[in-house]
Amino acid sequence: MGNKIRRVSSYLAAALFLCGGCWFFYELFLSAGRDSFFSFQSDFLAGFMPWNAPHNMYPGEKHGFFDLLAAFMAQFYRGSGVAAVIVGGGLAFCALLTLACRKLFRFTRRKAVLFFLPLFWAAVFLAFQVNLALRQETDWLGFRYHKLDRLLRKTERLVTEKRYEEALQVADTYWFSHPCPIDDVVKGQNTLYAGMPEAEIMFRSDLAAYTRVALSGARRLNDDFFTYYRVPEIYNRMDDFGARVSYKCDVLRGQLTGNHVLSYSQAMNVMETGGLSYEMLDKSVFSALVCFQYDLADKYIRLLKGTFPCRKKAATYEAASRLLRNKADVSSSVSPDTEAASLAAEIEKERVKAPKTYLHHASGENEARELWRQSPASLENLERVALADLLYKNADSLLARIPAYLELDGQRPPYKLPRAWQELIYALLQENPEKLDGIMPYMENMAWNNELLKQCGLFYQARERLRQGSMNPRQITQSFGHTFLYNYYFSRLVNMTEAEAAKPLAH
Amino acid sequence: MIRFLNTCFRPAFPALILLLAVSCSRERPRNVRPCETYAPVFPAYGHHIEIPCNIAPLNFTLPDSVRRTQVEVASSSAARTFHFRRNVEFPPKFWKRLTASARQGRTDTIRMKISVQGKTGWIRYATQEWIVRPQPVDPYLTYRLLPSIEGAYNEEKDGYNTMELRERNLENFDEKVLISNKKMERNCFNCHVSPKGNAQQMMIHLRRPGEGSLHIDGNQVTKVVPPEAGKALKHLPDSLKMPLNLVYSDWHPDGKWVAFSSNIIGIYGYAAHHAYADILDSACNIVLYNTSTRKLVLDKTLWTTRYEETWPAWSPDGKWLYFCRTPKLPADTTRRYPDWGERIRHIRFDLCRVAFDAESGTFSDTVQIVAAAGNNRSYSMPCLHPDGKGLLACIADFNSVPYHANGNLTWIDLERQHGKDQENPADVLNSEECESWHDWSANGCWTVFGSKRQNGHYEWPYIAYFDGKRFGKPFLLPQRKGNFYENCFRVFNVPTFARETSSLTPQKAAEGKYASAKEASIRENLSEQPRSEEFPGRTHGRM
Repeated sequence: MGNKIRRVSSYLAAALFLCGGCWFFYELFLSAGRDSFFSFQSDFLAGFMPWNAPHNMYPGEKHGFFDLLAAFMAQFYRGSGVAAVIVGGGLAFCALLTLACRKLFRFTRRKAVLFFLPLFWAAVFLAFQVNLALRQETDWLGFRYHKLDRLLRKTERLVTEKRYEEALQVADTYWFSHPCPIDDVVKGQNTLYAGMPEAEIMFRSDLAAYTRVALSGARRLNDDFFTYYRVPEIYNRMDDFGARVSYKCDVLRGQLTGNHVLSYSQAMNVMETGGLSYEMLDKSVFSALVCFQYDLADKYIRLLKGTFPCRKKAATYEAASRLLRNKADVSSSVSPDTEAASLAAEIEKERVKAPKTYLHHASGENEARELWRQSPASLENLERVALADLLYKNADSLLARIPAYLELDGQRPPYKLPRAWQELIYALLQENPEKLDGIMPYMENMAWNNELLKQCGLFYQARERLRQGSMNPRQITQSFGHTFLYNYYFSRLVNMTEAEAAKPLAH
Repeated sequence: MIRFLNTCFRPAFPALILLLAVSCSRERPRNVRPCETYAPVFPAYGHHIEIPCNIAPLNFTLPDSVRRTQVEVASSSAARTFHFRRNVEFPPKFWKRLTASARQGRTDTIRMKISVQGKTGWIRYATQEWIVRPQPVDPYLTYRLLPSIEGAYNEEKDGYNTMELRERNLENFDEKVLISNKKMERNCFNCHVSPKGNAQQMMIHLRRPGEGSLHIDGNQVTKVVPPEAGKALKHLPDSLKMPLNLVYSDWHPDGKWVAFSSNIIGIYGYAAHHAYADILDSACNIVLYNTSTRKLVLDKTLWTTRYEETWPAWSPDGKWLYFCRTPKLPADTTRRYPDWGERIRHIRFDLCRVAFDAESGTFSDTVQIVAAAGNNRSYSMPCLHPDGKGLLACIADFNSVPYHANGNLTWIDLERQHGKDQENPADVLNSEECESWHDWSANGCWTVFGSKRQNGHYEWPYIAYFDGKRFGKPFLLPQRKGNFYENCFRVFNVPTFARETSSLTPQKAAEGKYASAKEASIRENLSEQPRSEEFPGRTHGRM
């Protein structure tokens, strides 16, 4: 009897091993046919249960065995040895463990095999799961990413989770530990790219875009934008137009500014590149509901239901969608499903902020202006449009926004304005005080930042010395390059003109 | 080996039999509650849809809450009861038996009783009927399969997202890829066109990089580029200097001529919840391409600076070229409407036609207006019915490309004028979302068009019956998997019927692209003098 049980269990173990192996390699080959090795995680390892996994990103896509093999080998050739590491590492680990057990517990050979096989697949499975969980944070298995990518991914993760301050702290480790040579800054911003590898230029524009979203989310856009003074010129523009910037950043920016059409349409682009992702589906559902696209939201909710991490949230979305569709009075609903009611209320609130139109192929400044024009109740949009004024050195326009800013921010005297605004007012006090007549009532009750005032004073002294020739440009850039005043007096306007921005994408 | 297998499977055999028996057992509906509504199937193949006798099985799915489904399906030639979970997928052999009567030339009706087991027990829905028409549909459908318009260009990939031209066999579910941009530097390619459903011949325009038009003739693929492609033709007089691009096209019935519109396609980001992007074509003219001499003909009637002409479509007898035309915007328009989104709302296209002499390759000087633009009425994409008695066109509030939610199809009878208040027969095809990119089957009994009606975002192909006077209820292109469209992230763009399969493969297309391009020569028949316009033609619904 004992023998029979042992024999059956050994066959079962062998069958399990074979099935596991077949499944694993099937998935591996499936992934090879797609654009990215990691996209096969989109079904199981990126949160989808295999039986719910939608394989229709490329419907009906068929590959011959050798096509798949070639593509799979190409993935390795491109440096994506992750699978090899996982499988090889898992194999080595399990083999060592089995040998140790054989020594310690005096396993027979049969027992050792029985012990080893399931353990191996369990280890592989676990490794993928852990990699999935930690990939964004540490990427400890992703050898293909170098350090910069790790930094970018960490920032991206934190911005996605709306942990803006932490995201800024992470990004700062790069911005302030890898300053560009001051001489290059003094010579002109284009020289900052000279000799820089393309990957790093791309990395910088991506990180700059995420930093902008984090600054905006943390409500520090008008305080600290100019702090990052040594980054390439692309950073001194508000938009990502023309830069190869991650579409994920657009998704996040769209959600922050209420530009939800941009958000859910770019989420599709993210998934086109990296495969289906529950995160992007989650954001798409939210944005689609804000834009009254119920049918589209339902499609994505159905998919979201088939994921591990978001299946409960999908149910909440479904309930919220019904509430909104039925035009229930969300604010006063005493629904037992309070989560759905509060989500519906959040969506309703977002709808007030969401603009009726969006301009995607426009420049960042134009987009900011259009968003502000359509959603004047959004403080984030006001801050973005004010930053556009600062970059264009458009003092009149900025001063006109001060009452609206104080009103939206709910400030009472003494009024506290963002740092860059205070610097602009200081500059106008020095050179053109009559321009400030319109905001005199606010000026009288303004809380100045004493440290900032002191710095502004020092800047003017340095500028005077520069005029007299007793100070060289390098010194003033080093000392004051991070201030708005420096940019106000010395930086070029690097943005495209409105006519250029309005030009269609012809092809 | 035998001993090994014997040892392996013998102990498990009884258990396996038991397992199979349990899994195959069918629970009969008990305590069935009748329901007066139709089953909530997806795609929504409703009551009294009309389907061709040679179409593949119309598989569908039911909501997630459905545990089991019983489908009793019957026609005059076959009947059977099926049990499914929530995906209803009919066996193709049975489907052929089901439609056998219609194949023999009689209109038949498929009756379908659907019972489902949900959380609260069994429900039987009202019996729905599908009418099977004996007129067959063309056996192949060719379409571009691409991401939704916003996701088309991907800067991270430094090119367009995966875009493929595929051919689907409508009689079964076989599908093959004809062109894939994965093999062509991820460039974009636009509308394909074949003469009268002959898929062996095709013209398709490739955009950058490697811009040009592929002329497919059986196994031969030639890339044709106009001289100074995309740039203003230098040798023309200033008043006629406009860029030459080959964009939207239609093949003359004799196969010798292809009419191309020459446009600069401008894509603007613009959306008011439903309208995601707008295309504003400019510098639009129509040119003729002679496929045998590889010569482009610029004719004074259709190469003008007074009008924007686009969307050429030949009449079945080849004697008329239909197209859409609008006067160029006055010079002060940009000042009056600085926002292009506002400006585009003032562009409305008439539907016109001009006589053509195929022998000499020349057009008449007289342009007739077939249907005039009016308030909230701009025509585009005319497609002549094979009998030449009418045409199906797109009608939108403005512009020449109906990407808006309000893009609809309209039937224009060329023999009889519609009354102003008379209902248009094509109204049954329309929804609240955009309908466009339509085509006729060779026998004129079926039309296919793209519609975003499911969710306002993804354009999928619908097929509808036409008996010469009225259209039937359209149905979504059936797929092998009942729940295919639930998980589908692709747009089926420019669906066109074909009577035979194409021999084109992605490899051949790529080879054609990278082969040295043949530059087309130009024959001009231009006039600088502005002509006096005559409008003797019939008008439909003129404001």
